[in-house]
Amino acid sequence: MQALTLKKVHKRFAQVTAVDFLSLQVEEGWIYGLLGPNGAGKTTTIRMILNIIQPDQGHIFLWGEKGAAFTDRVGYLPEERGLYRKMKVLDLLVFLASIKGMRASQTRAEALRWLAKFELDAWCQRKVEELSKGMQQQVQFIACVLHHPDLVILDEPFTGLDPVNTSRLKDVVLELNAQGTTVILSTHQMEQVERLCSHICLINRGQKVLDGRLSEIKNEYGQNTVRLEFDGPKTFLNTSPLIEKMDLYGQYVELRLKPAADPQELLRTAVQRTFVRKFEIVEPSLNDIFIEKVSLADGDERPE
Amino acid sequence: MSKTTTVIKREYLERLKKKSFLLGTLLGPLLMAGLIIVPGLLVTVSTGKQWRISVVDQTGQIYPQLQTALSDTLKDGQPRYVLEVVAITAGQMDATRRALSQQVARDRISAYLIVGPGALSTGEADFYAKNVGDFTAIDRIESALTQIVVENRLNQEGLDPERIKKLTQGVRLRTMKVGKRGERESGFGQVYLETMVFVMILYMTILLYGVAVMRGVIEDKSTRVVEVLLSSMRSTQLMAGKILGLGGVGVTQYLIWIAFGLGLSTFGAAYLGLGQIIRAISPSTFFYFLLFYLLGYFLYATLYAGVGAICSTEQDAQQVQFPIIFLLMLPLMLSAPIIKNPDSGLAIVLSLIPFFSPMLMFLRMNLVTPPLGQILASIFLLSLSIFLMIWLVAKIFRVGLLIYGKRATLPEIVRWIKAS
Repeated sequence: MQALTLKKVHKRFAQVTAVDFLSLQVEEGWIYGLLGPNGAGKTTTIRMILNIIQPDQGHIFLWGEKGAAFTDRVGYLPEERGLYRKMKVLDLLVFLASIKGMRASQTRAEALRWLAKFELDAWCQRKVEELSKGMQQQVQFIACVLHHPDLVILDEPFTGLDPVNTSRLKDVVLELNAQGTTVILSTHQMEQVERLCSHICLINRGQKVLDGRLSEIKNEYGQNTVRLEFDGPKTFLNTSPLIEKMDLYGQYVELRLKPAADPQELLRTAVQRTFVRKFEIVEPSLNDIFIEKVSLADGDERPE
Repeated sequence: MSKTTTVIKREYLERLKKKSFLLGTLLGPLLMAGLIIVPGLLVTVSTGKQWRISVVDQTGQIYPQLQTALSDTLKDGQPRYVLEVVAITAGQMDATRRALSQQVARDRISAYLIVGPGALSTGEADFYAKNVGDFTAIDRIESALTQIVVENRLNQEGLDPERIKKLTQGVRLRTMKVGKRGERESGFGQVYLETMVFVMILYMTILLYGVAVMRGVIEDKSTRVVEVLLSSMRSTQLMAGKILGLGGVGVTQYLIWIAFGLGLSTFGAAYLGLGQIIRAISPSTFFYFLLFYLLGYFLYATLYAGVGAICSTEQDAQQVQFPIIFLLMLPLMLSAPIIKNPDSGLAIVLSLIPFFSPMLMFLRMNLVTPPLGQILASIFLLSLSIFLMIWLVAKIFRVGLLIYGKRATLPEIVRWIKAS
């Protein structure tokens, strides 16, 4: 079943079109990456999904129903975090769960269990403002999943977390997903998307640029990306007719070959000119796909 | 539990837990009473200052009598008026006056009095002082002079002042207020005090809790909690929850005060000797007090919720809330003429205007018994405007909550209202 469906959703603010006839589907059980550059319309889309604002045109369905019928089954971690600073952590969690329709008596034990999972149980009677920023963020994550939502929308969940907490949060997300929770992840951290998401949707200027299963998207981009590690002059890279695009990194270069180019030919050239230490045909990174798609789309618009 | 109830409960409990609630509940009425009574006391209780007065008596008769008449003493037993006669020779009047004025300027004396040669027939006398604002002292001197002059004239006509005084004994009018519970003795001062304490409490609490609603909305916006809240409920539920929750805190505070007030009315007179002040307040006064608080609160809290929604910081809000504070203060400023004449056309009209009626209708009801029709009309108009205001503000609220970082302009607000 589709947890979420957007059909030709359109939203304008005064002079700006924020979301431009966007359609997408999210099946139950997916981890869905909602990607896009700053100002692409991600937050507006999420707000419309949550019924915080209404689209001017088009429809949004949660489990096949329009409107606010099922927003209680959704958990939301907004990008701009915020909690009542003067409230005690446990009271706040109980409050946020009960506005999602949970009973206070059930929630208390559940909240403590979650706090223990994040090693925050000692803080449950402290005021929110006494917690560090990272801790507050984890409390907010708990608030977003405490009411057993079937769909969780996480907007930049990893920013500001240290590697240990990032890893724990990632595990928790995977765990929830394994239990059947659908996840929509909006982030700029492409490594996280590659690690977590089964499907992605890339939007730019309110329009969908790319949509589908992550592995298929990568396949579509073909096997023409080469990672090359070598000692010697780099000049031959600039003159080679095989290379469409190159990214220099400290220890290696990543090369995108032209569609018909043969990687073996590149290897031969490289061996002639330099001492090759490593030659690898790799999948294109999502980072590259993102940059390419977005700059391509922007390029299309530029002549106007 | 419904979402609105959940919000109400949070707003109510979080506020109640604050120390400021306890403090406000305990100190509020004391402060109010203090604000009203102290200036009153300052005016009525004569200042404990000694007057050193030089008297230029051109009649040569008045000074000794004046000295006898002005024999008041201060609290410490010192004479309040220390008189000193100054002699002049005719023709040197101006020089004498200049010299005396200099003495006043140097604070050697506090004032000087020039009793003209014809004072006994024309009653002319001039009083010179740095401070001519001490009415009690000046009235006292004037009446002493009057008495002396009148007695002199009567003596000249061969009449006995004592007898005349007896025969012309005037009427001392005692004022009683007729209320539902019968008559009671009450003067302007008492009614004024009692009424103003109530009206000031109304003003302060409506302002306090209205501002609390505004602050709450701004807090929701600035901490971005509003995103999570709005993903769980409609903006109208949030608005209702906030207004009702804080309104509940206000009602709690009022009930505590009223219980205290009724307790004092019942037992205070017997045990504390406060009967004169306390007995006067009837339970129905308390009822209307609470009713008008609630109605006023709903009207102003809704306005304040709107202000919170269009502002992002409290600094923004300071400016935007000014018209509201003005609306709230206007009845206070108008209360003096209305207390004097609570049944005038102006008073009736003003007390029917919804923004003023919480305070002004209540004020009038304390002084006179306005026709029931007027009371009901004010309650009706007030309720109607509350509903209108909620309807209007809800539209602003929905859009404004998600606009961070800048204050909405008037055209924008108009567009929001039109759009929804």
